[in-house]
Amino acid sequence: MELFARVNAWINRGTEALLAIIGIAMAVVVAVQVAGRYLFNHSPFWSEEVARYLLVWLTFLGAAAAYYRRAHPGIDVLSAWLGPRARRAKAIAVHLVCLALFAVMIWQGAIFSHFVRLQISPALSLPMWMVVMVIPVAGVILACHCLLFLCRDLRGMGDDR
Amino acid sequence: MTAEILLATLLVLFLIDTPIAVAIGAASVAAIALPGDFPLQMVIQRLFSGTDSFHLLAVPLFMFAGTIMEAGGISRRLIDFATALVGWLPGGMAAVAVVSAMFFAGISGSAAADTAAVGSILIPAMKKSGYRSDFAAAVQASGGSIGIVIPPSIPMIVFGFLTGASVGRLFTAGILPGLLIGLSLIAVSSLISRRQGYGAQAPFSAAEVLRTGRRALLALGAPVIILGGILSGIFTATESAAVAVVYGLVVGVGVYRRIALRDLPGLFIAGSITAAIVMFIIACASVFSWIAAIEEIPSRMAAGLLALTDNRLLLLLSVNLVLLIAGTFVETTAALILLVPMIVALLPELGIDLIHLGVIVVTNLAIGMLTPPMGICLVVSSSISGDRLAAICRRIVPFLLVLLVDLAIITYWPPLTMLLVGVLR
Amino acid sequence: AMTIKLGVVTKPGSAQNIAAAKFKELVEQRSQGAITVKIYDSASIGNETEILQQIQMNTVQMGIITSGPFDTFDPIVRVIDYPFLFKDNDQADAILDGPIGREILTALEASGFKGLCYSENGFRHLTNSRRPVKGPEDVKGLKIRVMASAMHKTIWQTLGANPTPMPWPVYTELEQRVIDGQENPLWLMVEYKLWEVQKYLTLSRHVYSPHIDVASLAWWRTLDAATQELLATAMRDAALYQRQHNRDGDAERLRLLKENGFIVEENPDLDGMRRKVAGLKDMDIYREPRVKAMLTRLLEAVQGR
Ligand code: NA
Ligand code: NA
Repeated sequence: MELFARVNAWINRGTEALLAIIGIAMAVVVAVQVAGRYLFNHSPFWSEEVARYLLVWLTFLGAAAAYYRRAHPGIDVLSAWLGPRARRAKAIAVHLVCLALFAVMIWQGAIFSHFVRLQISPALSLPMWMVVMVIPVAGVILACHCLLFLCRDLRGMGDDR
Repeated sequence: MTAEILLATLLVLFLIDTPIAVAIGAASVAAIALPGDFPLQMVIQRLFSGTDSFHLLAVPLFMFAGTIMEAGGISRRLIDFATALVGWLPGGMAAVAVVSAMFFAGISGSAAADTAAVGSILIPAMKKSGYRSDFAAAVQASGGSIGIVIPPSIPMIVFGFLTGASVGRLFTAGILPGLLIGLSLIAVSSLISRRQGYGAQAPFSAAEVLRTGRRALLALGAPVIILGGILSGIFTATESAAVAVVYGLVVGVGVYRRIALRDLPGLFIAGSITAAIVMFIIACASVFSWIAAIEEIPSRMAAGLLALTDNRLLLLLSVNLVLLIAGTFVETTAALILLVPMIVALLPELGIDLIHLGVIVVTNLAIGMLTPPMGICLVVSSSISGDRLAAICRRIVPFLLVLLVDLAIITYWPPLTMLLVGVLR
Repeated sequence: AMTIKLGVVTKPGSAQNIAAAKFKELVEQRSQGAITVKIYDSASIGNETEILQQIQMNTVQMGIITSGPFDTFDPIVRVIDYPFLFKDNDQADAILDGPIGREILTALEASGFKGLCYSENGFRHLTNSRRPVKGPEDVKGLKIRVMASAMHKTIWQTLGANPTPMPWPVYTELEQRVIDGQENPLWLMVEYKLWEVQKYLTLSRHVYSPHIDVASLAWWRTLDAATQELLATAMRDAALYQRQHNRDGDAERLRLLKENGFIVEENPDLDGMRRKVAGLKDMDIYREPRVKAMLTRLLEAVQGR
């Protein structure tokens, strides 16, 4: 459990480092596109495509980092009326729902990556499976974090979120 | 059958406090998997295509711009300038909170960021000057909600993404309604302050306005660049966001020297995570909206509403009511994706411009940010002030009432939104 | 009773939708109500690439899709987009309805599509807000919006323009003069009232843009021969109807565009432009032997007439 928590912290540090790189790259690519058009009267044909795919990566890796921080908003209406036991049961149910969705991201994400294996991107001829892969990859990270939260709540160490 | 599973699952998952994005995603998975009409791979295709958009790039870029400008120390300067401008009013600090939020709104696309940036300084300051803590939090929450009406605005970007409306025009259309809302909030807070005996900050001084104005010049330059760039046609909305990031870096790192280069990764991580929270909702909601489209839910709902009335004014009223109710319970981005297709199906009967409709939708959702259980501005304010949500809610009622009046004006008096759009054509 | 889901990305009244509506009418009438066609328009279920994926999955059974997006599935489709390829409508029809067109349709089966026939967006033409364009020299320096495709970008670069790839619609960008011009078939220019933001139209006919009318191959194989025959014939009739409808409309559209202020160059120096892009057949995107061979045959075929 200790070890698992440390592995998760480590995965999250890696995710956040990637996010910093993606975020900076995205700002640079779009800024270069504007500068190119005005200063050199020429904008690269690949900038839009690259920026879009960076956005896809940022979305799913960022979602994993946000999940680790428990920053995804929910609507807490029931908790006020529930006792601690019921609240924990509810938290565990939510983790299981999350786990189900993340499992679909991994399993169907892998199938879909395979499904588009022959497709290439219009501007840069990148293989599309490389871009789509972020969904199952993020799914694995999300599922790891989810399992950690689940273990904690099952052991009764969870904060009553 | 599919539609019923979708909506029932969604309701249950919302009730047990599932993260909104996951609730929408999981309900969509259930609606595809249980009847088994479509392959589950569709989920992945929609997750991907919901985020693969040049227009939506503006979401993280405006988040980065806001985070960087904030770290660059502009909030303080904007607040000093606002104090010189309106600090002499009764309840001067409350007015300062609203005006500072309006300034910050011109840089940030998010109401939560707006509330946090200004509130983290002004809520403690108001408390220290003897304002009731829950009143201070209520003023700041309502001021922050303007963040999405005054451009730039993440919800307007999403509305443009969903409907094909020009984001530049939506931004332009938001300016006057944003000013109207700001002024009316100042009026209410001054009235309450007079009754509570909260005093002015300092007498008005033109010299002080000039001094603080000069210090805030670079900070005020950001909205000028963003809006000026879009309106004059130099940049698209997405490009203006990238330019704002560069400008924020130049000001924060180069001029104010409040940001060190080693802080940059942290700022981009923080911005990426806030953006990803919105984007993940968009991704999951686009699975939902694909199912809705294939099951024709939006047109069925629109037809249902039309069966009740085809009076234009009543239809506009019911659109507002639907949006207000949705804004009360559902997060802003999710409400947009779930409802905008239905509302746009009504556009011919509503007889208004798509841009005008966009501003009405966004204003409704701004009000929704001030109502529990899902009121992001309330949550941010209460976490700064330390008050319970219920206490702030009581204080926010007069602000909500005036916002409803503003909403009625914005809805039924088109020139307010369309005037600037027309001038700029 | 069977329901066919058919996807298009355009709004009712657009070229794709006219073919789709005609197909629906013919199928429902000829099957005496045994088959219903449900049209999903306005990109409500996804963009063209996504609809094609849904057709591969048999989530959606049929689609009327511009040729462009097919090239991410099979690069052989690129040969149709070759610049200044077809002289006129008759030549385009003769070749696409002939053995070469058939062969391209058959090639799509490897990607899971049953290619049925071609309808059309039509020839693409150039508009801009700066100056009349009569020949290649006038194109120089114009900022032109193009689709995000290496092919279209290269065509305009070779002609001397500054192509800027942007997602459609670009009405605001044209209005604000972020870009000078765009290129599309006439019906789109009318649909978007481009006379409000553009001044000069050149009938450049630089690229012929067909739709490929496809069905899901997985689904098609489950149908009996009679149904296949009924659907294939109905789609073919719908395509012929739509092509004729589009061409009949072009004269009227041209009149409307002029009436609203467009200054039209009807006979630009097409040979000069064609000469300038002659080197494009050696481009990287046609490198693959199978694609290269098809392009060579196609270029010979258009010469032959
Ligand atoms: Na704003
Ligand atoms: Na709310």
